[in-house]
Amino acid sequence: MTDKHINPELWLKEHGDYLYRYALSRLHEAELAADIVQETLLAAWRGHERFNGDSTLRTWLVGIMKHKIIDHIRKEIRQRKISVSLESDPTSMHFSENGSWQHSPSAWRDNPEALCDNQEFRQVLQKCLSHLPEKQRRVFEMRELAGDDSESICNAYDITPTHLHVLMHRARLALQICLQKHWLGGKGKL
Amino acid sequence: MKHACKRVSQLTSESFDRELSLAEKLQLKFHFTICGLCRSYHQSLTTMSSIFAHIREQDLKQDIHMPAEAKQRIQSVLAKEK
Repeated sequence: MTDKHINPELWLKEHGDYLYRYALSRLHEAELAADIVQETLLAAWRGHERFNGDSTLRTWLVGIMKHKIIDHIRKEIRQRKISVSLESDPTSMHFSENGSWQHSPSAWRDNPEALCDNQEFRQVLQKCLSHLPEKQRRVFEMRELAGDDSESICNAYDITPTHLHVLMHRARLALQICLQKHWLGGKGKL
Repeated sequence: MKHACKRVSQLTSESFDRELSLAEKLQLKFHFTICGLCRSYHQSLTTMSSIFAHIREQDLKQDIHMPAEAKQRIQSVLAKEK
């Protein structure tokens, strides 16, 4: 990094909005996202000697931010004692004793892009997401909406990959049922 | 094949999060040939996954900016630190 580039105020100017969007898509709270941007830039400034130029500055900043976000989630989970129990299996009710379907999934042939542009569908999707248990929803959103890899999510929520797969499966099944019922079956009625 | 569909629905979901083993892939493939409901479930999850991929893309393009006062606050914190 040349001297003129070692300027955190310049980093804020050039990468602040990008970092903010990155944090916001994972934490969903404007103020919190801004705080994480601040922490990230401060940590980057204090550790700028460790930036070796192998990656772009933005990639380096995002790398620092990922850790800040994971730390934040871990702290929150500890403080609020968000349950991580997997004891009762909510998917059981959709299968009979012998493991065959009680619910009849229908194949969706809608065009995904057209659906995304449909505001009514987006509202139904939001509603269906909001019905998921908190932990499940947050893990699901971090994976599907933020697009994070399994490792970061397991790290943040302190769960094993197996546990993550179970949460994702439960979330997908619940969403499939909710969307089928309220959109594909009842066209927008929720 | 007891518990087949229940187990298959879990594996179907996992196929979106990790690379399945060859045996698991064959198990799914075979089951899909005999079970229309699981085939439909797989199809609907594939659509769901494309929907989220598309939303992710849209979100990235969105023109969201950090609120000006937050930017200013960070700016002054950084200035003090320098």
